[in-house]
Amino acid sequence: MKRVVAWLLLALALGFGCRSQGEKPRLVVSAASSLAEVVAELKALYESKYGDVEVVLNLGGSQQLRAQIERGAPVDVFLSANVAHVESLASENRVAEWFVASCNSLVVAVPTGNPAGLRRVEDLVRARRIVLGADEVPVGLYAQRLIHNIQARDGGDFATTVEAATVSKELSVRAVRNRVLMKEADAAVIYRSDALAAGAGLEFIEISDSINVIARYPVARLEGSANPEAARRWMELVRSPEGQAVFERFGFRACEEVE
Amino acid sequence: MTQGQQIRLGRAMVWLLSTLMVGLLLLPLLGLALSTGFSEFVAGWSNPAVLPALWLSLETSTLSLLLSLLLGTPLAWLIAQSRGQRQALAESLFKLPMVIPPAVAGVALLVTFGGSSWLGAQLATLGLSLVFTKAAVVLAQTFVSAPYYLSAAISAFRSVDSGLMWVGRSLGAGPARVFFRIALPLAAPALFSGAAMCWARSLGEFGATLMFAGNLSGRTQTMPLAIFTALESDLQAAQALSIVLVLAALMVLFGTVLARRMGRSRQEKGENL
Amino acid sequence: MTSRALQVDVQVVVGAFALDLQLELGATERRALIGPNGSGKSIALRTLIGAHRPNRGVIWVGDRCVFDSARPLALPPEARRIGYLPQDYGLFPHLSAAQNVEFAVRSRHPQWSRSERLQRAVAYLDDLGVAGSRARRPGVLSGGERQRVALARALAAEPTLLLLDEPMSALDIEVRREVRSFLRQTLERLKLPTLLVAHELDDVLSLADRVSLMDKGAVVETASVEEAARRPPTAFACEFWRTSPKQEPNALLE
Repeated sequence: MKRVVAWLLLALALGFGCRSQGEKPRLVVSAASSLAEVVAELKALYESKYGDVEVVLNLGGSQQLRAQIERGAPVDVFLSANVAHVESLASENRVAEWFVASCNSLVVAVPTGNPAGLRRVEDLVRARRIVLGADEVPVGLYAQRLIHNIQARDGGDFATTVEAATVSKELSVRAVRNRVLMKEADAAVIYRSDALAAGAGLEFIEISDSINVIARYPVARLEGSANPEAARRWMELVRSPEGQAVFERFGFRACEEVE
Repeated sequence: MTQGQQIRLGRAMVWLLSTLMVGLLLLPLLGLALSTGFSEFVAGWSNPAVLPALWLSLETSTLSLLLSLLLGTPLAWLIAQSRGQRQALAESLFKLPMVIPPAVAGVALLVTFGGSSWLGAQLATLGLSLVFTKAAVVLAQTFVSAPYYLSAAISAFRSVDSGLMWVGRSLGAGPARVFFRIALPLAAPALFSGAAMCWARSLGEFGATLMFAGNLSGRTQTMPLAIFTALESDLQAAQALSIVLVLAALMVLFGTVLARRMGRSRQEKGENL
Repeated sequence: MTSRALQVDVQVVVGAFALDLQLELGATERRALIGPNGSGKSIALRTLIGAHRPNRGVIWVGDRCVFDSARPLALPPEARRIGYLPQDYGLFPHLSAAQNVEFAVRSRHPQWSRSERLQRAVAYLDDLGVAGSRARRPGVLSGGERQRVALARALAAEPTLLLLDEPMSALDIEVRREVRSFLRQTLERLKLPTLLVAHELDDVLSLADRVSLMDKGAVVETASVEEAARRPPTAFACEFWRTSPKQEPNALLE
């Protein structure tokens, strides 16, 4: 039953299609939405290098992608926004190999013109409308950790004030960012990569590394992949300087530590 | 093929197709119920997001239903009286919110009433803002669900024999009494089912609400939003919440059916002189 | 002016149909309005109650003017005190017989309590011999009963003029004779000025004193029933009497 459900989910995600003879073999890459632009370029890079394989991208929330894999969906590579998902898949013996591909840090995004006049992350107490990610999505979880870090360091009412000023907890980092772009929020906590990608649509404030939360993006090659060779080549591409340059171009940062 | 065989074949086809439809409609609900274990279901109930979300859903869907009834009934009456091209145009126009995707509806609401819009700016000078409020939830729900009531109501009023209305007037009743004592009661069954559809659509509304009102437990997180939020981290919790929502909806529907039956029997017993 | 129950002189346009109606009714007169299909008889009745608005003209009911395009004055239907029975009697299907009549009683006695109004309603029903059906809905009544309930209801609104649109056509042929007889007795008893549209000779002869013939939206001629029955004045009228499905014109009393 679960396998059928997984197949249905993946079929819907990838679009129905019967494989006729003469089609290229596929490499199915499930990736967190925040990596959308990165994997699009990696796909282009991969296909230009290894033209015999078609890379199929499956984007979504890390949790949903993991659920699909657990239910037997035919995924070859998984790029998650959260190490925990990969670790738990590994404990279920679904992972052949994995490592941290890239990292991301948080910033405070404000609408152009900075109406609330914020200069540092601690100024969030002065914002009247704060938008964060829901606790159930990685960026929301990290934001809560950041708030906790500041609270632990400074004491006082920081956490409760920020909570009181929070007007919405969106279901994806892009949705959080949209609130800032549409000027519905005074401030939001999003990934640095997403802030950079928005260009002139918003301004952002850096957060010092001592309190900031570093998000680590693991890439995993899955057991039972239909095309382990192609998957292995993908992993190499990600690890390579070329691949890393793609990450950096979109605002991700190289991680100091490597699994 | 003999005629008898043809009839039997026809009947078999009807049964087959009906069974497929029943399957398509009921199996997923059944699947949902069966795949959630009892302990998970109980855990779902004790999820802290449930009660505020359930309460908010019931509250906002009721408010938006009332809004649709209050504003939609007179409009439906007016449209039902009009004829020809104007009527056809009006009907199509007010059906639009039904065909646009809810997310698009959400964007439309945001762009029209949001902080950066002209209307939004006017509201801001009064110190009011719609986005991220419960009022926004009600607005979003009404926007997507009112057309369901409206189109049923137009149909209902149109089916009332206009001759009866003239007879009522000739008996000395003004337009108001004729509307409330003749047109409305005769249209009532169809109005009621239109209202039920409208409410059901409100209850399930997600896309426009998420975009326009945001997602905050206790203020704007209705059950569908709570379910989608739970999906991000815990599939079991989402399943349990889904069942809670389906049960709540069923209870309300049964309640209304019972209420109608009681009302009707009271009416029949009532006027015995 | 005051001795007339009805005075009409109007021009009405309804869709593609044009009506040019001139009519006068005496104080207790019962007039039948006959004519081929499409001659405008039903439209005439509906204009009188106020469902159609004339372009020009006047309508006087007794000594009250209910319509005058010159002033301009157009009383709404509820103010005209004109009783009206459409072909299907127009009973409200969701109300019982008593409630139907009570609807009309309410117009004349809004300050009465519900039970007082219902009591009066039952009195009207009783007067027409259908008090026994008071709690029943129109759907379960016979044709004759329905006619009586509708009449009771129209009378409960205390009209000064009664309009009946083909009162017999909704009934089965077998019951028409009996129902028509009762209707005739009732109308004679009420002494209300009445204008009734009829298709059948029987109805005209039994229910009316005088008859007006309509054609293409205008009244062509008017005569007493005896005159018309004995000697139709024009060739056209002759044609009408001949094509009407009926027996001897002398069956006045039934």
